[in-house]
Amino acid sequence: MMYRESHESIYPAHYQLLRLMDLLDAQGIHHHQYLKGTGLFYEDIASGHKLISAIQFIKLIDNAQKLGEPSLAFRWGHTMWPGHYDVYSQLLNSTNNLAELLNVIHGYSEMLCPLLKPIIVNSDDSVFIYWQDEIGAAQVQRFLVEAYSTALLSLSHWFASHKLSWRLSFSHESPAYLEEYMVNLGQHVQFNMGINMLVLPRDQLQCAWPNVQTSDAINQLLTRQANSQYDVIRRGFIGVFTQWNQRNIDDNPSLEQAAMAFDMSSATLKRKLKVHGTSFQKVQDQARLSTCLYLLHHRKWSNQQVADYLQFSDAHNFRKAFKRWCGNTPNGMREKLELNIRAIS
Amino acid sequence: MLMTLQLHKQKISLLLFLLTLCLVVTWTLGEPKFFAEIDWVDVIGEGGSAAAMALWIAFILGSRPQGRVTNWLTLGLGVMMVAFWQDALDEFIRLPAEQWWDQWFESIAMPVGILLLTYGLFHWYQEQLKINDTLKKREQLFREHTLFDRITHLSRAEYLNTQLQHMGAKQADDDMALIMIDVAKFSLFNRIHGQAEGDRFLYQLAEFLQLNMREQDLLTRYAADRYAIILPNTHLPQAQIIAQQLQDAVAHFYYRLQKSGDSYVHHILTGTACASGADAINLVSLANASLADNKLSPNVA
Repeated sequence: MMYRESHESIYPAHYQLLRLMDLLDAQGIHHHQYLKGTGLFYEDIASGHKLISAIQFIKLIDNAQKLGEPSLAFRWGHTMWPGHYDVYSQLLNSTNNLAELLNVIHGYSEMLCPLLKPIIVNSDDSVFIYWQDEIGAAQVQRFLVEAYSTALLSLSHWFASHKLSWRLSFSHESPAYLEEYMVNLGQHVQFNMGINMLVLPRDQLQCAWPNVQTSDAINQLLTRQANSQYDVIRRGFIGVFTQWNQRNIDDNPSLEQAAMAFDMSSATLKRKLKVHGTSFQKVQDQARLSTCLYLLHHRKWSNQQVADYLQFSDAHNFRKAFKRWCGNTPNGMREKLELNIRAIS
Repeated sequence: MLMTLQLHKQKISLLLFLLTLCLVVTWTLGEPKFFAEIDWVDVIGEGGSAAAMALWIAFILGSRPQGRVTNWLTLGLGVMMVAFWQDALDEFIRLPAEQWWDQWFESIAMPVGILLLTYGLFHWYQEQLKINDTLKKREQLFREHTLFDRITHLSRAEYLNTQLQHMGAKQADDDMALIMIDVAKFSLFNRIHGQAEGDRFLYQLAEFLQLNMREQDLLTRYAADRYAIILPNTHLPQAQIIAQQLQDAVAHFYYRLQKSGDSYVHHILTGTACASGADAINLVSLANASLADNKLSPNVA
């Protein structure tokens, strides 16, 4: 199976990080402080030629989240897109509606929202977008989710020329700086939801942007250009591993089976997951949780059906496990999400 | 801090000169003590006090502009520091008994230093009262410098919550109102003119709002482009009138763009809520909800 590991350098340092450094500079933080431990120099990043690894990217974000004001991630998010990311930014600019925009962000996620991938799931009436860790960014996940969610809301509101009815769920607890969420992301925000997710009624996906001028020919050209650069980038190890777990979830695979599928020993797999800041249990829990949410909310399955599908001995055990994954019972979660969805439509 | 210290070069030079003078004079007139004679407890106590004085002087000079109060504070601390320094030198160097001035230093210089410092602090106190007066619309009841916002120089949301708790506990029966203020289409402005211009506007708007507020009201920055004003002893209709007046005022505020000097007129949206007693803590969410309602109404541009 093809995947990329966290030490491989693929991210142009001058894409998202240059803007983040601007914001840190404005706060009066010296670049020695925020570049500490990254092995990078300011000149490297400003030069526009340097590629950096996920490890370096994560380290810089970690420094930023420790040194920065609570508003930093949101301020970064507001200016994230379309950005100055060569052909990828041009692609964002040449979309006609939100569905196309989401496809571009999903398709070129490593260049537009490094480390996390937006996974898009459509149900009858809503679209669900959740942020999937691609390469072991757990320690900076909250910061990235704040920034990328702000980026998506900000750009979609700008292109649509009006506010869309986004609803947001976050896996972390309600933070001390809740006001930043309220003002930057709106009133419809929930915490402790086990998953970082944005929800929107499906009918808002296809509404044409009012002010965007684009042509099919230009779009095709841009897509070819982007693909020629992007095709060499493999998906991150955690992303690939999570996906494999989701696909095989009804077999309830063991660590040994997973290691065999990835052509390595159990010890190597364990070590590799640890290097990426996670464990087999955590990846499997996350894969199960997202599958559960899908089955419960999109397919409207009952708790018993989901428990059977995931090979739990009974619904009681399923409920207990579910609570461990996200701190909520399936019914509690269903209520919260239902409220979320009903409030939109 | 280094930039501010530059302003006080002369004072720092004088201090260093005095400290060196003490060292040279004591060294020339006295003779070094044997190692066994040195009382290390005294060395740490007196030397440490001298070092602490040096640090205090650095804090004062590093944070204050030039002026009378700064001079008095530095003078007082400076004399105390030189006295401690001389005491510390005594521990290493024995001065002959006829050097009367050494004793003089220990018993006279210290009280003189303390007197000078006290005089300085008295003036500092008076200066602070004046400054409090100018800060009145920015802070009330308590001060917490870590809660100041870098961009608008107002207090942040955390301060707002604490302030509401204080006021809720204090004024059990009186009505208190809160106005939430949002800048309309602020993210569009940022998109077109850049975040730095947006920040500059937020600062100027904070100044402008304060000019249009009553003496007793308090302005804070909630988050991003949202401000909150606390209005003590105010009923809802009165608060709504004030909110409307602020909207009207801002509609006539010609903000000048930094580079071109062109004018740009922003509009604000407001949400108002009123509560009394312990309910004060809910004011924020009530006012936010009222703001959200007003945003939805079609008559806002």
